[in-house]
Amino acid sequence: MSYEMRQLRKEDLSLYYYIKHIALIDFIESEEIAYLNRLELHESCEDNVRIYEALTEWCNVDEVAPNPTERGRGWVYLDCYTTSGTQCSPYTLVSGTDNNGVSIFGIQEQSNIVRLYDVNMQEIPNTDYMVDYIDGRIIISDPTVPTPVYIDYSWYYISVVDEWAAIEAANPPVVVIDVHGTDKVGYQLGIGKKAIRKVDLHIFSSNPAERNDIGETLYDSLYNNSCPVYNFPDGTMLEYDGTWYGRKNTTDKLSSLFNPTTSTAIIGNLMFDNITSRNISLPLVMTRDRNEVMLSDLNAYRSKISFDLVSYTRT
Amino acid sequence: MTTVLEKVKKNVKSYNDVLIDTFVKDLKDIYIPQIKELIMADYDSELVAVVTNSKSKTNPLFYREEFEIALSEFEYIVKNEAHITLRVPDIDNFPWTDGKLKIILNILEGTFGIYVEVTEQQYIQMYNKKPLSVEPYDKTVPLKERVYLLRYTAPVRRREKEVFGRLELIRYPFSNSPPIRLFEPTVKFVESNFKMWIGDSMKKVTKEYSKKGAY
Repeated sequence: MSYEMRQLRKEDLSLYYYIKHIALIDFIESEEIAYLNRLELHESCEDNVRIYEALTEWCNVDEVAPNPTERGRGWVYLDCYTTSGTQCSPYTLVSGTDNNGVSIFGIQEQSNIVRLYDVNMQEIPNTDYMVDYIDGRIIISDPTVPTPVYIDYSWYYISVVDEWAAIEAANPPVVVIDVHGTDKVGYQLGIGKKAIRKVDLHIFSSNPAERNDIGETLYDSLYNNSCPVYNFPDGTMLEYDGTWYGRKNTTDKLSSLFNPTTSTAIIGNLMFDNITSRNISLPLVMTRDRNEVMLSDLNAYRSKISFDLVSYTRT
Repeated sequence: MTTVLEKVKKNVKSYNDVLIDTFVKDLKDIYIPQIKELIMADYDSELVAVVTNSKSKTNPLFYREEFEIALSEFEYIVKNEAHITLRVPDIDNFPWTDGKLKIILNILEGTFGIYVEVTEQQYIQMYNKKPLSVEPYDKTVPLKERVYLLRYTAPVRRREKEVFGRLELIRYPFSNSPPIRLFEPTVKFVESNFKMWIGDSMKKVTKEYSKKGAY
């Protein structure tokens, strides 16, 4: 029996993609010539596998600085093509096949974001390794591939999570997508319904300027706008282990494209409606400076954007 | 001499007035008490029941009375010449002006991260200095009994163990708690019943009129 995601899950995921890859596309940081550190593996692991992680000691200098591999961040896994000078669309479609060998126009795993170098600064071809985008690691299974020493990569500066994390997930800035309610009403005539999802975006930042920037960016990306609902026939872009979906089976990036077909269950796109934004001021005790004990941080500079996610269905 | 038409018009107008008066009375006597009851029931189940540590000094039970008073004083009915409006309390229109009520507001907005309640004495023991002097939410609490919410970071945990030799600090019960939509069920309750309430008042007034034989 085949399993297909329910509509709510598709809408939640599509909204997550829209927020992360479209709305917050400007909030990407780059690291160049970062050192790689080889990780020791458990003895049960295959002998030939080597795993490297990029060193990020600079994150530990300041306890509240964001770390590239914190929850909701990770390395950038989509190429960013600049069109018309300023607008950036990661969803440029290329011709190839999905993981089942079906010809499609799909979204390709990045090919110019992560660059790996050996000790002589010679670039290692990207077909020689896999990238774990969530944990920021390089996986090499071919023993003939030279030892990588340096890496260039980009990472998502804003942590985007779709749940109020059970643990302290990441340092600010963090955006929490909270789809907290659904109302469905029938049309006046005929079959089908209008589904209204209540959504809150909670913005946590480390200072008012950053909060205002993120809040305004998100508001503008929602106002008078809509986003497609993807069908996710093969699941999401990344596997549970952070690698590109299907990368384990092929080194050819054109034969493991993400299939961006949209859901036929709804008519048109998901529309954003009734958008409101307000800052949340929780007057918790503040510190004198960051070197002292933090009495309050994440809750000090908050904002909330509420909106309805509206879709129309035929059934 | 008044014509039949004028008489009818007069009666129609007075019907509207009576309807409004009846509806306002029904709101005050029946429906607004129901609204308050619902919100207080949610307050108890969503806020008070969450706190399991009896030593916590941020238990919403301590602020229940203030919240109930503010709820009673809330302006539910706004009346002008053209229409009347029933206002239902929500997080944006509720008067959170009282310092103690701001504690409830904080809880309702959700708190990201783990916090512990620290008394001034504990803070001094841990850091050899007084905490920052800030305006307290609840001025009636004596200085010695005030608690500060301290982010429970690794250095704080280490310091706690060093100073007290064990885990001494009480965890803030609403640590890592998502926003609590205390008023939302009541807003839905009003939305789904409002037409019926008006219908009931109309039936009442119509019945009254037919008894009096207004026409």
